[in-house]
Amino acid sequence: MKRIINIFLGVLILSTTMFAQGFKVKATGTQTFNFEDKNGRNQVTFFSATPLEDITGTANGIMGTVAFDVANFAKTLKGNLIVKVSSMNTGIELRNQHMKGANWLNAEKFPEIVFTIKEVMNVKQVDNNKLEFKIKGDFAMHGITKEVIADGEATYLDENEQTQRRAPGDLLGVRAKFNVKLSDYGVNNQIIGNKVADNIEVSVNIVGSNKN
Amino acid sequence: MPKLKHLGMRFNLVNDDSAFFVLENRIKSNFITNMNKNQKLFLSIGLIVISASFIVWAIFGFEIFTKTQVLVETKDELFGWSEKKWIDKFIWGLDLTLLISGITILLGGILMYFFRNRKISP
Repeated sequence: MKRIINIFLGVLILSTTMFAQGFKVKATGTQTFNFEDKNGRNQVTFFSATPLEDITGTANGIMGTVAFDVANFAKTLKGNLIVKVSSMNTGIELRNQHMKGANWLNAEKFPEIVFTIKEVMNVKQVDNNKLEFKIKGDFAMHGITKEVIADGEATYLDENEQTQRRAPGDLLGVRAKFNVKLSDYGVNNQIIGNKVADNIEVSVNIVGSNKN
Repeated sequence: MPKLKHLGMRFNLVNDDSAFFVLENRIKSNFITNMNKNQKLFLSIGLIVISASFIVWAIFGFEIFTKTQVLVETKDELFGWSEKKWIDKFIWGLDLTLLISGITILLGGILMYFFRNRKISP
């Protein structure tokens, strides 16, 4: 009998660990987080290997919201993330102009890059307030939308003195990494040639507040 | 061979290779020795400017492109991850070095042409 109880408890613990797909924090119910950051600290970084010099750039013009049930993050996560092309910076003004110009991202015609969340998979509970997962979504750039899968990590911080210094309310920190092929989005012309790699590594570091 | 006359060439052709060797050295030596004081000054200044621009480029770390901003990593104390931040910093690149060298060669060439010896002594 004791053995059966032990097995039952073991299975119970294992199943709660394996299928835990939410945060174990003070907050409950559905929470909505806004990623618009007036201080410009939210950031998307992009990296391209080139024959001459590797290019690392950033974009700080980030907007968007996500909403989810705290106890069931994976099944309920909905939302999108918007990056303003005009906020992209590579550290060289002339290169920025080329990047935003008609031959590249065409910021005038396509001013925003949008990621819309579709599905969260392979959720792993790293800590009570931290989850690792894969996130599938529609990535729209240069007028073309394609599905991408990113490696993501979300950290939920209940409001406290430290978080208040950053923004009011509970905070959700999100990190994600994925690759984008420029040619998939129609950014492949003779002017670019082999000067920039077709594959761009994209990293996202953003913090949202539920009282923004 | 009017040009060779101007350079005051006198050599015996032993074979083709040695003839060209002598000719090459004579042209080089005449190029320097026939220059006047001003031309030598411009040449020296030009070489110094070009060398200096390459030295400065090396000091700035052999970067290809000139930059006015660089990315530095900072740590987010709240979440513990690293962030990238632009700071204003000038980095001298190869493009600027080549531009300076090109302008120096062009200006130096023009000045040396205008300050050339009008009459070449035989």
